[in-house]
Amino acid sequence: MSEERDRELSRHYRAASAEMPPPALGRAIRAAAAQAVDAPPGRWQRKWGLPLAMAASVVLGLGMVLRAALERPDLQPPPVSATATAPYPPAAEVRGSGSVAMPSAMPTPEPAVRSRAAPAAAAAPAVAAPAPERQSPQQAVSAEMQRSPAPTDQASIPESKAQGSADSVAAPAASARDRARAELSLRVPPLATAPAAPAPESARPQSRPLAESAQGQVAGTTANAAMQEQRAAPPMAPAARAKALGADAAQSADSNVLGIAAEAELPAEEWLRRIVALRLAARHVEADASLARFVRRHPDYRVPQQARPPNP
Amino acid sequence: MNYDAGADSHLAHEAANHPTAAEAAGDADGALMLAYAGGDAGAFDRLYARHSGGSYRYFLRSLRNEALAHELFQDLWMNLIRARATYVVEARFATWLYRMAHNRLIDHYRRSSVVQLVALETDDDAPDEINADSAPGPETIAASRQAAQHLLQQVQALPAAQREAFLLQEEGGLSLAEIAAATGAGIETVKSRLRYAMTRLRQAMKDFR
Repeated sequence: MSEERDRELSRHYRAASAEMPPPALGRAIRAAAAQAVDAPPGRWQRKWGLPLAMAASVVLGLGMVLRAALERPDLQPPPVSATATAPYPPAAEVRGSGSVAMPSAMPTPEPAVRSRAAPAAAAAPAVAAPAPERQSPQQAVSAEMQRSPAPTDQASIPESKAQGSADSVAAPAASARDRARAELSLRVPPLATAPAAPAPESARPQSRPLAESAQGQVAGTTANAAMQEQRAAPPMAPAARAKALGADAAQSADSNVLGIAAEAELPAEEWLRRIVALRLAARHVEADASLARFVRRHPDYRVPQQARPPNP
Repeated sequence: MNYDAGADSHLAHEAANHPTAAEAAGDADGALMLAYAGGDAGAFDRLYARHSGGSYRYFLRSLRNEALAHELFQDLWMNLIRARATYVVEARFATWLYRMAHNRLIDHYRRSSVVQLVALETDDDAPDEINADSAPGPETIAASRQAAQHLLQQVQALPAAQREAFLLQEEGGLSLAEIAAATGAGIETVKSRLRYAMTRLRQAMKDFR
């Protein structure tokens, strides 16, 4: 057989292969494409976008600085005495002492979280205080410390502060909590940043929002179950907990190192989970290489933040 | 088996030395995609005009179901719209487009039927013997239109992996390396799939020469 025969096949094929997509479908796709690039920023967005972005950056930066300061043992505030957990002093007394105003829009912890706190923490109404501007600076810091950590640690922090002996434990506990949160986010299938999952193939396009909504509810339920499980687990010693989490991540990363060919056969979401596991184990070189292969293999997937290289 | 060893070398030769018309226009397509990512909706219209037919027929021949082909075709182009901001010229635009099409097809197979997935992912390269007696005789089919229709039927009767390789070559204008990149298979595997597909199609069409 020769090249002519191939060309003859191609000629026959092209003679019969002239189907085109329906014009209405083409118009809809082109309209969606034009809409995607034609939507200019609104007037309000043009006017307030930059100031709001700057304000948000400042707030975020201050929050990070405050959190970093709180997590360093040498910058911890002195142990909170019993007066810190006492009911509010008279309003007039506080006003005279120069209060630290906290934004009234700051979210309060969930009732379930509050109910889980130990009596020592429950005795601190600053956590659920509806008028945070009455807090003294020390109380505000205490409230911030109680807001940020995981629920299982909320009880232990005030107790340890009352004993005045556990300040050095606070930083490892916080880093362990961060790892635990990152690990928890891994347990939530499917990855939230994956492209919208298509509806079941038998379903028509108008049924997609329902399917996606159901999928979101399932994911949310799974996440809640995981969080409940984490809350119910008995608290570990901070050092042991951090060590266990690190070992767990390393072991998980080891199991996630596959050959390039085997890796390419993985479903996209599973592949992304493996990359995230490598990141958690601080194996960024392997994670970067795997991520590069993933992007080449799945250009239409959006890579979640957890799988991306960490910011310098 | 009627396979002629010359066809193999022909495929490699074609891949290396005879860029298709689509290959010649590859840079233009990439530039159009970048222009669209930059906000030029007209560039998208030109891309759609160039590649909508081929990508539509890729789904149509692979699925043999018009409604499903419409759905997956729409998904492909909506994915392209969403991915415009992250588009980077690493390969020819057609390779990128058909890689997304292949991924969408695999997703469909995974969700709808394990049997079809296995059919696509396994290398079912062994050429089945074509029963020449089942082919209509030349006295009953004279016009080239009928020959073309017969060819379409034979294309759809190919094993999924061979059919996909054939469609990517014919509809997407992809080379061997580009088909390998789009499907995640090795070049030798793609070459084998195309070789067997051509053998089957030649056998099926020998009465129409």
